[in-house]
Parts: sequence; C-alpha cells; structure tokens
Amino acid sequence: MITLSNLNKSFSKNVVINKLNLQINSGEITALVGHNGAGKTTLIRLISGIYKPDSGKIEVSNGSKIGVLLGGDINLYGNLTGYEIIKYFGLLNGLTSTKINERINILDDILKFSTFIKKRAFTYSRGMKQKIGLVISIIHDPDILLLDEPSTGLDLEAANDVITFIKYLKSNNKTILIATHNIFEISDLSDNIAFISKGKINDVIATKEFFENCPPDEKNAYLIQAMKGGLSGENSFNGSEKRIN
Amino acid sequence: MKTVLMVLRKELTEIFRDRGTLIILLIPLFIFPILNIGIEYINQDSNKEIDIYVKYDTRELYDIFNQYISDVYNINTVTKGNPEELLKKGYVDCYIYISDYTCNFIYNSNSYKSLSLTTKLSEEFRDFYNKLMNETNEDVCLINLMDESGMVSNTADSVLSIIIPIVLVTLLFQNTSCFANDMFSGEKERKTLELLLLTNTKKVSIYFGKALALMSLSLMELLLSLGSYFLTFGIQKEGLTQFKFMINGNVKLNVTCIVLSAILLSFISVFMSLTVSLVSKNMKNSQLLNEIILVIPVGTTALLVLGVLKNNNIYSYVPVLNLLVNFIEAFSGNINITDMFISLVTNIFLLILIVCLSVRYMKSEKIL
Repeated sequence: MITLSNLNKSFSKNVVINKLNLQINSGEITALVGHNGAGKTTLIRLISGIYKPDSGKIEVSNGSKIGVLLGGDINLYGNLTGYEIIKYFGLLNGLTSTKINERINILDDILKFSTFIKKRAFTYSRGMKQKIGLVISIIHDPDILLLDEPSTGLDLEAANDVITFIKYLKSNNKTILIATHNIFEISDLSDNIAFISKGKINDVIATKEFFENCPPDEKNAYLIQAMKGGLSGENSFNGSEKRIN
Repeated sequence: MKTVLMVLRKELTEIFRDRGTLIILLIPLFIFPILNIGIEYINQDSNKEIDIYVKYDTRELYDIFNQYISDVYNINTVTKGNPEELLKKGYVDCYIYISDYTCNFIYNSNSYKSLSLTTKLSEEFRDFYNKLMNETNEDVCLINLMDESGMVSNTADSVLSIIIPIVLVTLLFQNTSCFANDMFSGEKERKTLELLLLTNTKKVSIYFGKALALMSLSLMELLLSLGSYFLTFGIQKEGLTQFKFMINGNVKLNVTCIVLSAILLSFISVFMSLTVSLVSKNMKNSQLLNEIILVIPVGTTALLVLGVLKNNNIYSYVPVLNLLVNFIEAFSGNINITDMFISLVTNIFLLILIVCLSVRYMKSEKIL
C-alpha cells in the first residue's frame, strides 16, 4: 500500500504538487488522470524516490520493491543490445545472471521482444524501446509499479502489447499506479481513477462503478470537470450517489 | 566494488563499440609521425641553402669551425654588413660569433627556418668539435644556442619541445572531455541516469564506475600519446637524427617526471571533465563548458612554453600550473627532483579535493 499525505513539491517558485493526499491499496490498479502539467510525472518521481518532497509523507508498505517506467521518449544505450541493457539493470538491482534470464523468458511471452533483443538499441523503434523499458522496470519483480504514460506515442500493436502486459501484472496481484491523460485507454484495467489537477487530487472514483452506472451524457461532462479541477466534495462522483444509481 | 566494476564494464563496452571514440583514441598514433614528417619536409626544403654570418675574435676556434663547414656543401658564408641587421631581415639564417673558447649560434626567434637550422648547425658542430677534441685531448669550448637578444637556450628548446607539450596537453584534455561529455550529461539527456538512480545502486558507485572507465580511457590515450611520441622522436636513426631524442640532462628523472606529471594531468582532466558533465543539464552545455575549460590548460601551456609566463612566479602558487611547468621543463631536461615531488604532492591533494566536491554533488538531489 502507498499512502501520500500532505505532499508538497516546488521547483524554484513553481508549485507542482500542492498538499496532495492519496491512498493506493495493495493489489489494485489506480489510474492517475490529468492534463499535461497537472503534476502526474512529478508525483510518480516523488513516489519512486527520484525527487524528494519539500514536505509531507510518502509511506510505502514495508519491504515493497518499486519498479518505475518513466514517461517521455526512452533513449536506451544505443551501442548496447536490448539483452545487455536488461542484464545491466538486472545486475544493478542485485539479480544473478540466471535469475535475469529466467525473468526475460517469462516476460518475453507477454511482450514478445526476443526478435530484437540481440540487436543494438540504436536500431530500435519507439515501441521496441518502450518494451525494453517495461522489462527494465519489472526485471526485479517489484511489488509496486509506477507507469508514466506507458502507451503514449505507440502504434496500435505495441499499445496492445503494453495493455496485455499490464493485465499480466494485475493477475500477479501487483500494486500499480498508471499516469495517463487518456482515461478510456485504461478503463478496463484500473480499479480506481484519481484525478489530478494543479498538483492536487480532486477526486478518486471506482472505475467499474463509474463506467457501468454513470449516464453516458453526464460521463464526459464529469470527466472534463474532474480533469480541470472544477469538482468539490459535493459534486464529486463518489459523493453523489444519485448519479451512480 | 562489484557495482563499480559493473558500471565500468558497461561504460567500456559502450565506448569501444562506438567508432567515433575509437578514432579519437587512435589520433595520437598518427599525430606525432605526421608532425615529424611535416617538420622534416619543411627542413628538407630549407636545407637547400643555408646563409650564415661568421664573426670571430680568435683564429683557433674559427679554423676548427671552417674545417667543419668545409664538409657541409650547402653553406654560404656572409662576412660583410651588420650581422644583427642581416639576421633580423632574414638575409642570413644564422649568425655565428666565435671568441675565446666560446662559439655562439644566434638565431632569429621570429623565423622557424632560422631556429631549426641554427639548432641543427650547433648540434652538428658540437658533435664535430667533441669528436675532434677527444682525439687531441684539448680543452672543450662552450657552444651556445641563443636568440638575437642573447638569451641562451639549449638544443631541447627547439621548436619540437615547444610543440610537443602543447600537443600532448591538448590531446589529453580534449579527448578526455569528449569521452566525459556522454558520461553524465548524455545519460541525463537520454533519461537513463534516472533509470540508474532507480536501481538499488549507490550514487557513489555509479560515479566511481564512470570515473574508472574514464580514467582507463585517459590512461590508454596517454599511453598511446607518449608511446607514439617516444617512438617517433626517441629512436635515433638515419633521417631522424636532426630531431633526435629531445630530452637531455638526467634522462631517467625527466622521463619519470613527464610520465608522472602526464598521469596526474590526465586524472585531473578526468575529474574536471566528469564534474562538468555531472553539473551540466545536457550534452550541448557539457561540450561547451568543457571546450571553454580546455582553453585554460592549453592556453597556459602555450604561454608557458613560449616564455610569456617565464618570469612570472604566479605558477608556483597554483598547483596545476606548477604541474604544467614541471611537465614542460621535463621536455627541456631542466627538472629537479624536489620540484617534481612538491608539484606531484600538491596536485594529488587538488585531485582529492575535486573528487570530494564531485561526489558531494553526485549525492545531492540537484544531479537531475
């Protein structure tokens, strides 16, 4: 479980995360939805430990290992092969060569990267790089996974492989936080959706209930409002039971 | 330590697979032979005819000199006019003034041709004279090489001993900074540094892994540079005799000083470039900053070898400058063991300081 309480982070005078509170339960997939610049990436970097919060608390269940897929273009070490890169990160995470090979075989069944793993990374397409990035993030079999826009910019086939990969993780009872600005992409996968705007969580809703029960004409209006940060406790989806029923 | 070696191995694998890096590494192998060929070519061209002015006070030494030049087919002797004026205007390449037990070979410091020919003549005359005197057991005279202002220099002060330290320092700093640019700022640009920081690895291990890789490359570069230099100019054989091994005096001490100073300079360049790469946001910034910093050692070396800073004692207070001075003077054979020891020790402390500051920065959050 991850608990974030009263989290603050600023860069120079720019407040990026502002008194943020969020709880992510074990074994659940939480989608972090917000516009560009809402604070999704910074939040993932804070939880992963790349950034340190100015104030507030980040509590992660004892002994949980964290895996992170960072957003944006992944540019791997061009002169190394995919296999060498995965092995390098595996070794740095304390795995043995045998264990790394075992994990590669398991993950290859889902992500299908064996055709290009022995080629140098500078020859890779964006989708191939993303797949290697995903393997690096999970090579040490983490309990918690933070994925920053995992399918952004990928073609349909590669995006589909990523979705299959997340389903595989879910079946393995991993705790996952996925940052995205496309809510429909992860509507089948996530247990909860947390809306973030201007560094604050505006609302957290149960995905299944929302998509099953919310009237179609109100769905989009609600999502736009939630992403813009225009919701308050009263008109929150969870807070208004009439709209669910 | 295991992690440091892992990072080192990865860095070296990546670097050696890059063709550009290999070309940079191999530059020293070609630069010294090319330099030698170029200088020989210029010399051969200028060897066609040598105009010298000879003035003498005593007949005895003048006769010996005449004996020497009678065997040199391409010398024209000028005896009329003002020798200083003729030398300055380039009408003669060399002015030789012979007095009691002294033979001064004076060159025009603004002319490379004059400098190299005068050096060659003085060296050949010294050999001729020594050989002659050994046979007759006579007293030995002083043979001086000096510029028109009367500043005495020995043969090692010829053009090569000016060029070589500059070339070596440039190669060392330039190539090290080329390799270092990619180490941290390249990783930041590719966002792979963040991936590295997300592993269980200690930041210090990453730093020292990269530093070791860079030190290995720098040492390799140094080995190739010094090896190429010694092979090109150190072997005395036909055709190379005029540029025979430039180091005189205590050769062992001076070669030791060159090697130790070069190793220390290479380590300083490693940690300086690595620190620049560490604090830079991207490769472009790192390259720019490293190029600016490169001007300092290369410029200073040039100023030192050209004698601009010769009479200025400021270098004795600045460890790197002191190291450079020792490095340069070792090529002229002027080094003494105390100077070398003080210079090495103070620079080792400087190196430790740079490493400590870099490690402290690496540990901070500012790295990203």
